[in-house]
Amino acid sequence: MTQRSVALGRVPLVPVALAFATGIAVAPVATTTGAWAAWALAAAAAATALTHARLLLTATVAVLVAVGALGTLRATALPAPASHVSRLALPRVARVEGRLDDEPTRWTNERTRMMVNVDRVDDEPRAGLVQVTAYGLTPSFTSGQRVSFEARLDRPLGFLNPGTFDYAERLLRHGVTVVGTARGERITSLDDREPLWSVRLRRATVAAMREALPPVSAALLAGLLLGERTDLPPDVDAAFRRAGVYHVLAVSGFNVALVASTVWALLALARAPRRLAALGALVVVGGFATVVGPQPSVLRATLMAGLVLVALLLERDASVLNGLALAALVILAVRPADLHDPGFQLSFAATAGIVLAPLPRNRLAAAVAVSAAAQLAVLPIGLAHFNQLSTIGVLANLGVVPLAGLATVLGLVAVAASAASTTLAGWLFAAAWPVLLALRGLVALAAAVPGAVVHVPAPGVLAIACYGAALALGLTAWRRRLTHRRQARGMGAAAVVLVGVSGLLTLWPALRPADGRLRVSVLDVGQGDAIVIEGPDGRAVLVDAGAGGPYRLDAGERVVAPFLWNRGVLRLAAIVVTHADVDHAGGMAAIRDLFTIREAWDGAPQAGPLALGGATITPLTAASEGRNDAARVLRIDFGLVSVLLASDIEGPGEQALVASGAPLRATVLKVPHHGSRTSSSPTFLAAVRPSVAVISVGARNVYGHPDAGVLGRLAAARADVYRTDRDGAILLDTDGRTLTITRWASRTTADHCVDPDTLC
Amino acid sequence: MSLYTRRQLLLILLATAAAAAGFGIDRWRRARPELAERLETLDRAARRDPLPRPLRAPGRRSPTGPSTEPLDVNRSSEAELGGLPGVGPALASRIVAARPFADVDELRRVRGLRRATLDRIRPLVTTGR
Repeated sequence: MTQRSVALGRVPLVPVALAFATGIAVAPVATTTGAWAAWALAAAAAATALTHARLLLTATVAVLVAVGALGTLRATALPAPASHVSRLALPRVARVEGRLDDEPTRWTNERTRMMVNVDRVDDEPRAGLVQVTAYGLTPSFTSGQRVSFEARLDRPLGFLNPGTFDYAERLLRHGVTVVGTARGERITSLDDREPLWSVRLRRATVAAMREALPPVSAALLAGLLLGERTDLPPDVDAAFRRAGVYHVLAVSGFNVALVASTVWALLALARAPRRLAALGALVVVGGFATVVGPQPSVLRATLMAGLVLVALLLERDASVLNGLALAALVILAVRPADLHDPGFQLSFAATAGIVLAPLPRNRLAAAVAVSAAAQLAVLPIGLAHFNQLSTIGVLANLGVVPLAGLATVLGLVAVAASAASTTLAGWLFAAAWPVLLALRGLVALAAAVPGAVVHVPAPGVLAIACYGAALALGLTAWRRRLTHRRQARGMGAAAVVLVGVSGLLTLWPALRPADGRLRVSVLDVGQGDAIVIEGPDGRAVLVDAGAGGPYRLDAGERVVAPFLWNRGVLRLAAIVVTHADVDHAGGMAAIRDLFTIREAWDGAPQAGPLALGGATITPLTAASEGRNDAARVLRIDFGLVSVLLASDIEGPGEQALVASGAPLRATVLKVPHHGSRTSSSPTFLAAVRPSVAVISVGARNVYGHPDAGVLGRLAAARADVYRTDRDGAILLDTDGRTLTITRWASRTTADHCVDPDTLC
Repeated sequence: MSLYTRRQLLLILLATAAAAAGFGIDRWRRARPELAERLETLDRAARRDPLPRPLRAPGRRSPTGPSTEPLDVNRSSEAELGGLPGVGPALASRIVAARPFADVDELRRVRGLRRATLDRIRPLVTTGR
């Protein structure tokens, strides 16, 4: 037997877990029938092959395929029964009764989110999950409590743009097909249920921290100890992300290991026998996991710690890698949707990286190696989900991890002490305070380093596969560097090449030469405007960035920035804020933070025109008064194609524009003010004469935009209407003669001929 | 070279077979609930009406018992009140706390008792006056 098979023979569950995960990953593109067929064929093949001694390899492959097919079957949704909430006619206002599926999350005093496992809707039996957002003061409820309330039910809404996160899709993966809004103070409970001991302990712990520590430090300790981040100020949260040390704010193997070793150490001090210490640690770790809740990283760490401790109890060797695979299998069998969860991926990748990496003898070098191994392993995951690469992370972790560990242990001991004496617990919390301050200082310092975070396009499947292969090759090369020197050298070289290929594939959108086409993308940011102009010379201009600000979805950060990064736009030639309304300017703060910007057209009355290769962006002067009417109107010209971005101007602004004699005739009109009744007057439309009208408007907005009259006027002007509420992002792409328009929601494209002399 | 021994492979194969059987049966039961219910009652079918049982009237959580006598909201116990459709233990205890009631409409002052619930329990309750 070779070295390799011995190594794999010790971790029999790794291939099984990988096969199961692959099955779940392909589920979106597989059919149930196909999965059944694959399972039956593979099982039959495996059974046949097993009867022949020589076909062991075939049998192995067939068995793994069968496991994969099982993963696919597990992940494909079951047909919803007729009484499922997804079969309700929506939207509707209904009285909902059901049980809370987990502890409600209180975002602010005014907004609470609850997952309700419904049993009745309007007094008829119904089943399924509904995610409810309660506004106003919501009484304190607990998991498992039966509640009754009146809610407005509807389907979840996500923003549909290329390369951005779709909230509705994520909810759907977790089985949520209906969302609701309710008044918090009108939610009544149908049974008076006491919260579970774990919830009470969690609440008491958070309360004790708040009592003993200043608010921000208390919130930070709650994050370190319990993974509870709702009270953490957004700037502190952002600093942890920038510094690449966000993992300390999620409960993970780090916390579980600290809990286990603290208990172990205390019991060992008390001269308890080894087995008793293991048993004690096992019980406390289980309790800790119950208190902090069922996130994938907690489950993983607890399962693995449990395995190690049981192995100690039984006095056997535990293979950490096999334990990791078992944890993955258990979590994925129970909650297959977790495979797509960044927390699951980060947790498993970081652990695998740390376990597999070769560690030097020297303590300091080993610490650096652990930090580097974890960062290398999570790199493609951070890029794929957040477009984010932390350059300072490896270094920052060297200081942050010990401080976070010290604070966590002090916090844990304080919580344990609070059972005996609140005064004693208060002192211990006070002792943690300087540690927390030092931690915050260090993180703020690391986050302030220029270039601490680099943003790049999300890598594709191929780039990630190249990177993974490179890591595997590099690792094998390192292991064989003494025994098979030449082979190892070849593998090392191949790994370097693969990393290069992977990097090139990832950065290609940013590196590719400009192709001389003008692209204007009207993004779906709900009710608001965000328009990206990519010029023929490759430079980009952003006009407005949707809504933004604290305690709401920041379209600048969540939609516009990822869209730009994934298009390979890493810096902006100019940003334009057409006017100060929050649905246009709100998201721009995040853009200013995240991008290098050459020119900002916000305050200056006379800026531009700006030439982008053959295209020109010219600001037009509208009325000088009125919040909306004074909005900046832009005109883009490229060859025979022209686009008029009319922002939010209304009647008077339109009149002023027409009267000013500015060139208004345009192929494409970004319809003013989300298609409101007060805009798009017949005079204005007659001056613009658009062939294409794009309305940037939020689905189910409270203003009733777009107005039926406006739609009628656009139809009368014979413009083709595109709307972001139904079509998702509207992507215009032109060479100056023909205009190709894509509706992102349906991925359909249409061509418009602008040049009368060419056919298309 | 092989990853697994025969015995290990056989074990994994049996595990997938058991899981697949579970999935298949679960799916089939969800797709044909009436057939599944028929199978479940096969051994007791002789004593039952062969026709499917009439569905419970919508809106009734549970039958309030054989008695058709209206409940006296001023005298009944919390448990009796809790058996009324739309009234849970919490609401029942609030009804008890809000006693006495001069007439049934006065039940409206009980927090959490909606008009719809009141209309449903109106034929089932009295104030005993």
